[in-house]
Amino acid sequence: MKQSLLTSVFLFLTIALALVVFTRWLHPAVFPLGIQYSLAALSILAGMFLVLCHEN
Amino acid sequence: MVRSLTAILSGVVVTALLLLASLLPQGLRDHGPVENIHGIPYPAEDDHIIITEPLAHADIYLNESVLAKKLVLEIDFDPGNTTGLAVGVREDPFWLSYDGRVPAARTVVIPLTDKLQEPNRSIDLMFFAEAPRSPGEVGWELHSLSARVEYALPDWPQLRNYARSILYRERAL
Repeated sequence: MKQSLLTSVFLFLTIALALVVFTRWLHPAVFPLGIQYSLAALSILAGMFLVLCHEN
Repeated sequence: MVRSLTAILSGVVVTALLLLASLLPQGLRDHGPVENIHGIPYPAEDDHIIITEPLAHADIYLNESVLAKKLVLEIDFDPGNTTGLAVGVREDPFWLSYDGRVPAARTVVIPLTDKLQEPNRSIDLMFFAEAPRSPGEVGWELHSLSARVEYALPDWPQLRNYARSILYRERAL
């Protein structure tokens, strides 16, 4: 259950990050760089928790 | 399968929420020096700037996207020997695309959604002075200029222009 929730969180953060990166590629003025970095950091954290959860 | 679809939808919703949150900031914004079309700043004397050419340009440094925003300019000026003074914000990559120029007054409001925004989030502001005789005789004084960004509900054509400028990756030529 916990792993399934973490997988979903990791997936939607990664998709949001991909959308923000794509939009910034189209035009950097739409989203600030801070949002891109925050999403990337959250996505990495969710991924790390997912791996830890899987190992345990 | 259902979980993946939910995750994709959640990702899209989160991105949309982040976009909505970026519409909220309002307030005063900095502007660059007032320059001629060659990028040379006009001379400042005491507390005012002396404009001696028909066109005078300044960058307004926004902290946000132009989507759903309007620019409120507070301009204190002495028209000098000009017969008319207008102000506009650049609309597309062509350097002189200021179709939506409005007569300069103490307070000027310009919708921003359909205006061109540089990758560094600045917008181009231009003053247009009409000279009585020849362009060499233009002379007016800018005493103060302040730029405030406020929320403004855009109409459909403005939204369409905004989407087009993003999708076509419009940049200043």
